[in-house]
Amino acid sequence: MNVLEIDGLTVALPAGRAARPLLSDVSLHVAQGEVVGLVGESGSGKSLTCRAALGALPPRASAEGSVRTVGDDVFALSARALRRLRSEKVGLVPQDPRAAVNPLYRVGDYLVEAVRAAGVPQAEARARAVTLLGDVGIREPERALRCWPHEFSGGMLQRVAIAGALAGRPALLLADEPTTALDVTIQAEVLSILLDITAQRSAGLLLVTHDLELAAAVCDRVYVMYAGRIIEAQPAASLFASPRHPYTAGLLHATPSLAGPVGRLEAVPGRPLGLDEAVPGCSFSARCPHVRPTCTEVVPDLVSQPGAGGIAVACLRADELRDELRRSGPGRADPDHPVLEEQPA
Amino acid sequence: MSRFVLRRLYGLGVTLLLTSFLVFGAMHVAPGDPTSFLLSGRTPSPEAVAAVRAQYHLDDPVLVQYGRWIGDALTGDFGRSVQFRQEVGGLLGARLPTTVALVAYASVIMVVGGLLLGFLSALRPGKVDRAVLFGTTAAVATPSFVAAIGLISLFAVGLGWFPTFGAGEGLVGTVHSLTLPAIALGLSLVGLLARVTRASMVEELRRDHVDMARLRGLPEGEVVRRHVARNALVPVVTITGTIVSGLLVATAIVETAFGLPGIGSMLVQSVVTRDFPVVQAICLLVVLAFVLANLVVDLLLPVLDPRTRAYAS
Amino acid sequence: MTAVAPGLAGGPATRSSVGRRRGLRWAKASGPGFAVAVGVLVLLAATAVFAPLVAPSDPYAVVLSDSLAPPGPEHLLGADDSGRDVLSRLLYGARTSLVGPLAVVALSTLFGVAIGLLAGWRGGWVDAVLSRAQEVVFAFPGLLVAVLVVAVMGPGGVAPVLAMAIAYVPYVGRLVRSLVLQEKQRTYVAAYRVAGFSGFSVAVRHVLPNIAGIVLAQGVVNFGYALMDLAALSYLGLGVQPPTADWGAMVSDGQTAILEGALVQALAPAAVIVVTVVAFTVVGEGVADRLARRENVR
Repeated sequence: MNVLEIDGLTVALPAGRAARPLLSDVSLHVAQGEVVGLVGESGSGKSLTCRAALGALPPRASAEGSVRTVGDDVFALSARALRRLRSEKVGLVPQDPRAAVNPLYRVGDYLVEAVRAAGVPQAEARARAVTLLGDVGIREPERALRCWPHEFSGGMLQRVAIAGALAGRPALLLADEPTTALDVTIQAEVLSILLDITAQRSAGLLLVTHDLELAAAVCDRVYVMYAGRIIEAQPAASLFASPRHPYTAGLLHATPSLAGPVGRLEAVPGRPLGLDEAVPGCSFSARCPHVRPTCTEVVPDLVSQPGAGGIAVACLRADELRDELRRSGPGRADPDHPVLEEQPA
Repeated sequence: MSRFVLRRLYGLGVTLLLTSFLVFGAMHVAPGDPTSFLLSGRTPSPEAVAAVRAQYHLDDPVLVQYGRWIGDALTGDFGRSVQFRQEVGGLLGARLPTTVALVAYASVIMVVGGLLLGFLSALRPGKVDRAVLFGTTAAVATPSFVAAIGLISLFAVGLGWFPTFGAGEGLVGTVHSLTLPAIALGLSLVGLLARVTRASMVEELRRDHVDMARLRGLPEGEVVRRHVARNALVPVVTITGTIVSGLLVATAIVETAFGLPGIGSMLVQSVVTRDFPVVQAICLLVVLAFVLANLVVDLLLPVLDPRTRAYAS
Repeated sequence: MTAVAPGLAGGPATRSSVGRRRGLRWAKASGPGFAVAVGVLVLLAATAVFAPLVAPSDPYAVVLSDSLAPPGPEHLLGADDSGRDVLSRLLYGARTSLVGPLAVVALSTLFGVAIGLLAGWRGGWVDAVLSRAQEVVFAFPGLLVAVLVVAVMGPGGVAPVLAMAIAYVPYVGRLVRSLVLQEKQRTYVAAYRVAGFSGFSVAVRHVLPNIAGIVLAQGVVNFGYALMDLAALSYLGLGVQPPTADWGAMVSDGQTAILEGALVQALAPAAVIVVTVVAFTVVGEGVADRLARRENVR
């Protein structure tokens, strides 16, 4: 069963006479118990897609296509039903917990109001909040409830935010860059809590991140977004070895690695585009090392590739480049050369 | 926490000391010999001058005189009024209730009106917001004496709903007769507070945690009440504290306009008649009110915002 | 080295040359309210200057038979209790009513900028002392300072204006201090100092022009407030003394007539005061808004 189904979502802002598009024909799904990565640079539309799953679009934006979240068509819901969806069926883990938690209330208040919104009576709400804090690995949860947010570290506060996301026993968790604002040392810890909890509750998780390597490492499947479009979808297991879109390959190539020789860091040349400033044809064409004249004329569709694995690519030259991209990738996840072997002890 | 309170008390104590010295010292730089106005125009005999100088300790050093004055003031003895030939303390005591009632009434109008209009303006963008903004801009620009004249013309003379003059008897009478003065006193501050509230609300509405609260599915009423209005209150309280002493001074205008027997109208009369002991006492009272209001705000802020508590300790 | 600095400074020197065109753009972009307010202020200034030319009659001519005359062809806004023409007194009153606040704003801006610049730029004990001194003045609401000074010096004359100027200094001083502290963080200040310019010359020649716009906008807003305060003082009989025409004093003169049903004598000057203060507020805040928006873009 799919807990999130986005089908042909196009979102546009009215700007003067021409509508300014933010998302174009985005389709993705998250099955129950599945961890799905949504990867892209800032401005690619990944956060917007994530918010659309909660029925939250920018003011005055128009949307086409459908978004079904835990069985509900979010654009057809009444305000009341939308609130129920958000409070009971979906949990959102914020990017920066410091900004997402009201500093004027105690940690307990943050959780209790979420639990209350999910329909738990006041009398039981506090006990439920204590349980939630225990679930995310906070010791002495009773004491933690009485703390102020500013007394907590970023990592601790993100645990609180995760606990808040679990208040309504959600079937779907949305995490928008959940570790970006945290210290590097605790990022892994917070991420593993999030993954454990998703697995325990057999919920679906949509992990929005700019870190393709991270997504490939922890997700079941990965979607790659560029300029408001999904340009590649692939199971994580095969993504490292054989990225199919030149952009994905470039991203993998640009990731510095402990394993390889320390050489010059690669970067995807040029700068990322928003969909609104996209050139005619493939929006990546201006930066693509494999560009052909037709690339600047025809917008490539996201085409499912033949064979098992549910791979889809939006590139006119996907077939021709298939082997070249595999060879030119850094190949660190290549089964013949496992990463760990090359790492100095 | 207690160290924070002590430090604030110390700071405010210093302010009070310096301001009271200014109030006292101002009278000593007045042109002319103090005896001439103490004897109010009569051609004094040398004996009379000597007697007055001795009575008011005018031959002591200024600091000694100040010490004696402030010491007496602490016990409620502000000296004798030249104009009324009575103890200043008693004169003030008789007039203070009217002024306190007026200031309290105006404060209620200011806080209720200012908050309501500010909330309305921030939560209803578009026509309502523009209308409130227009109204509050005009209100802020209306001096209390202009408001007084307008209110008297319309409600007292034109419609005859309220008295034009005097303080009234009993609770109902007092409230009735203080209504127009309190509105005149509070009007421009309603505008000011509404604009501060609006700005603060608009800023809080943009916060990430407000967006998050909505995405968490909290009821809209709760989002606005708990996460917007509550947070927006912090700067509003701060500004309210600084307004209060200004309100006390502005009673001088409103009490004069409405012929109310309070300390504001008394201040004006005393200035005209150069009744220095009364002027000094009232100035001291205003400065004290300023210091106390600031103390209340300082103590209230940590309650309103726990982060300042952490900062304070 | 010196060649680097102006490049980093980013344009503060070129500001005045485009000032006029920018002013026009402001007026257009800030909506009709702003334009109307500017118009009102220009009209007022013209009235004050040309009062003798436009006033229908002598504002001091007492005609007792015209006492409290209602508005009519002879007296467009009626006559006051001494039979003096209200419209003429309003026109002449623009002079006293505007010159006072002008002096208050000029003096308080002068001293406020000096104090704020010194406190913000030097910091340390200089800042501590100046800030403490301003805090003490803050404890006195403007009207109280004025009342205190009038009690000492006697009513009328320049004393109330000086007192009000003192009361307004901390408002300007605080603003300038915080602006200077912000400006000190900017890279161009560091660039100049690294380039070997003395601290004082950087502060006066580069920091000051950069904050001048906001300070000026605040000055315009303060003008309105000072006008209100001085008018209140005149209303109480402590400011401008009779028979000089002044809006605040005119309200006071007209008040007794209200009970007899003659409203224009008090309400006309009252309305003029409100309109004037609104115009100053709208213009001052409009300019400040535009400056803040430009700051955000930068």
